[in-house]
Amino acid sequence: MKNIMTIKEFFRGFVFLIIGFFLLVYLNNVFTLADSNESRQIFNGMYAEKDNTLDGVYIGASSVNRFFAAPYAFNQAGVAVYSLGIASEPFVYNRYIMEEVLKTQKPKFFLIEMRWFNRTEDYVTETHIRNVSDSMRFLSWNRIQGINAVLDYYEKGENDLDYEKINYYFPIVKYHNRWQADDFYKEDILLARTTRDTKGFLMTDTNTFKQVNEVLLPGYTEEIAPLTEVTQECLDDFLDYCDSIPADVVFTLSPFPVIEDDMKHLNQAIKTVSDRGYLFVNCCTEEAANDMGIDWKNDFYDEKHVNIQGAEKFTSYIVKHLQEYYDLEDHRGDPAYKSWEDSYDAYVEFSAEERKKMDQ
Amino acid sequence: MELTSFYFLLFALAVAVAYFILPKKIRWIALLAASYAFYLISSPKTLVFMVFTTIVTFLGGLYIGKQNKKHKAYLARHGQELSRDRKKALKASVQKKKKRMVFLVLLLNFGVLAMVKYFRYYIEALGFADLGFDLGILIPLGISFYTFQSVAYIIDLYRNKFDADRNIFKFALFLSFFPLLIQGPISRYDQLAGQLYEGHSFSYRNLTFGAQLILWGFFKKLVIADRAGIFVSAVFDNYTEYEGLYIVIALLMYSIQIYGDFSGGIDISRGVAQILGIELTNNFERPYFSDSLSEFWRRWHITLGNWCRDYIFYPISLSKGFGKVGKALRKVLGDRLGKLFPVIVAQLATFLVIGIWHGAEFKYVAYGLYNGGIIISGMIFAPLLEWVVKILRINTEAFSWKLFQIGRTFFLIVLGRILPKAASFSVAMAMLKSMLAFNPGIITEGGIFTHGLTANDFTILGLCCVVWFCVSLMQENGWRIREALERQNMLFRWGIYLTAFAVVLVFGIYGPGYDAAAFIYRGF
Repeated sequence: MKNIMTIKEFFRGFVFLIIGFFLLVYLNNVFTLADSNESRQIFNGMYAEKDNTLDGVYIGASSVNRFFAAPYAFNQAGVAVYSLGIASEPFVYNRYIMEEVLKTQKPKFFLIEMRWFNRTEDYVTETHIRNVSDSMRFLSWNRIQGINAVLDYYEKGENDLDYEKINYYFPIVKYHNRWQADDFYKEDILLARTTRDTKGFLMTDTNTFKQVNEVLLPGYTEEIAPLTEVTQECLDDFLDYCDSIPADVVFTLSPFPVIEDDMKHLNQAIKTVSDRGYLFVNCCTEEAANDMGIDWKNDFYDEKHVNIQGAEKFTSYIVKHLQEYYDLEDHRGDPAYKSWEDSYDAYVEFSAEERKKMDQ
Repeated sequence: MELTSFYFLLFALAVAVAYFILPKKIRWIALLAASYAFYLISSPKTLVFMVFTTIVTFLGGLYIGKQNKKHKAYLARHGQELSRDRKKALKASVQKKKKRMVFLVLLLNFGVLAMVKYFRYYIEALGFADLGFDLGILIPLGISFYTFQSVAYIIDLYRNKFDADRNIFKFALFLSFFPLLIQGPISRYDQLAGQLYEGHSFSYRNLTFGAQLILWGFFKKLVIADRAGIFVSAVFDNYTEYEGLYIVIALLMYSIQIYGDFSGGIDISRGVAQILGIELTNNFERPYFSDSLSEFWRRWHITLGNWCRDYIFYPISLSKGFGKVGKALRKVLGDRLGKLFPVIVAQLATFLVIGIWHGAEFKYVAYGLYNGGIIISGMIFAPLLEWVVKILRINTEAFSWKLFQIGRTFFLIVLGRILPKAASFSVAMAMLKSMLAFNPGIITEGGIFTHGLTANDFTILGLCCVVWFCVSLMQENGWRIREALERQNMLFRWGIYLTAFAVVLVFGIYGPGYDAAAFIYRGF
């Protein structure tokens, strides 16, 4: 029986494969897309939240992480709504991010930002996909499903994406040469899983405290133009998914100087969502902007994103709506939410100096 | 499907699982199905050529085998009664029939090879492609390798080395065994077929040894060869912009690249086969340790060298015709040169074939002649060298002499490689000329690090080449690396395997944006 594998050999081989597998996992965590948009930190922050403590999770792209100041919302109303905005996150990813959240949280609601619907299937870059896929946990099945769904979806458009799924499943395939790059740090090797201490709200001294200093003019309209067939299908599928989960889903459209043609398509998305019975908080109207007190010259740092002043106005507006529809518990003073108190302290501390400059 | 792709590894794993699950008797069917599936995935449009070669060779083999059997049976029955002359006549008659068949099979098989690999080149080179003469045929995957295997089979049958295969499906497996398809080694029927048809038992040792060989192949191919290839491509693709040391270093790098590329690929093929319990012929014996060019060609692409030796060199050098010519020439050129004549002609023919085997362009012919010419010169001027050694009182037993010989051989190999690598013969000549420029500043001032490879890349390449050299040196001194590792403590062994795995993953040149991954010898 010399040739046949003994139990000892089988066990040894199995252990070796397990170690090799963990080495592969480790290397795939080290060699990912450089976290220049801090997407991974934002995801890590969500993973680090105590189980079943979040009231809600706000999902979207930079129109979430630059707009919804979660620590500010907590300080105002004691609500724990995590700002899970991943730079340029494709809409198709939403359900997989929500599934990921549902593994550890039982939020009352998800907030879904709809600005992505400006973009058709022809518009995407690999970075948009990797911002999410390289930030989620490597061994998460949702990550794999998200990659599959996104690539299958974009295949219907005219773009020059890399459609080799394996290259996304294993980030090291693409990024193994980053050991030579200037943005490869010791922390990457040590897997120092840093999180943002502002609950996903992205505060950077380069942007958050700047002002665009030109009057931005939104192209409001109530006209409707159809979405592309693929985009409509994508939205319908997502709404079907929303019907199936235990949490509520609220859709939002953050204020920005929208182009009139885009707004027509967005109006179609709003109509579809509302027709299916979901609440849509449309902040991209003149009335909402007035309610919020948006100052189109001073509340933005560029034409797509608000600065801290704009973020606070938007956050207050959203919180007000949430309080109208949900009986939200005030977690202020609750020891279980100390990290939220800390996050507001960090928020204030980080912004104190910069705010002075802005006010001047 | 490239040997270094994730899909190939998955494919090989699936084949191995299927192979060992199936009953032993039908395991060869799994290999045949896998091999044809591999071909269909990799080169579906050219499968017809392999099927054609398989059928032609199989039928030709059946005919020759039948003649062999008939002849043998006749001799067994009537051998006692036959006179010597009658026996001779009978043998000649059988040989004639077999020869005709060999000629026909060779004509058809080499005809296909010529049509798809060479005719196409000349059509394009002569400008006939524009006139509608383009055959529009893709070069079939592995055609040089399976054609040479089929030719060896038919000639060996002619020589009555073994019985003809009577099962066309089994024979199809011999020609199409998937690990061999991309770049060989060119295997002989009597060495391989039996192993393929026999159902092997699973062996943990084969699994681990095979996996180690695959890992080593990946290391050589992805970390060393493909990294060196970046600099080589930068220089050779824009040769007019480079001179002096750039070309010297590119040539050195190319010698590293092609060795790592080819031997790495062969190691992967051998590793996959070993997991299945099949031992493939080794194709390399540390060729850069050779102390002469003829030794180099015995250590480099061994299976092609052996093929040329058995089916070109010996038939020519031992033929009666050349023997007679040699005898006649002894009177004119002297005893030594007269004796050498058939050998010289055989060497020339051999290296001409080796050159043409690599490709149809003149640069390949020139490459063959360069190697053949140096070896022949060595044979002719051997007495002169012996005289010089004697006059200078050189100790040929000393290590320094051996080192000099290795260095000299390596220099000739590296220099000659400019012929197949350059875009054409005239480009090679132009590069040789511009190589003479003196520009050491590219190293001292760091200019060399701005052509695709950074200083870090050079460091990685250097370190990995040192590892490769040390392993080769140990093998040269009789070490059997995998057996030696097997005797080490588990932690040490696993440390080495996992480090190698990580090195390949991190320092390998692969992934999107990198397209030089195709094996160089796949193109031959």
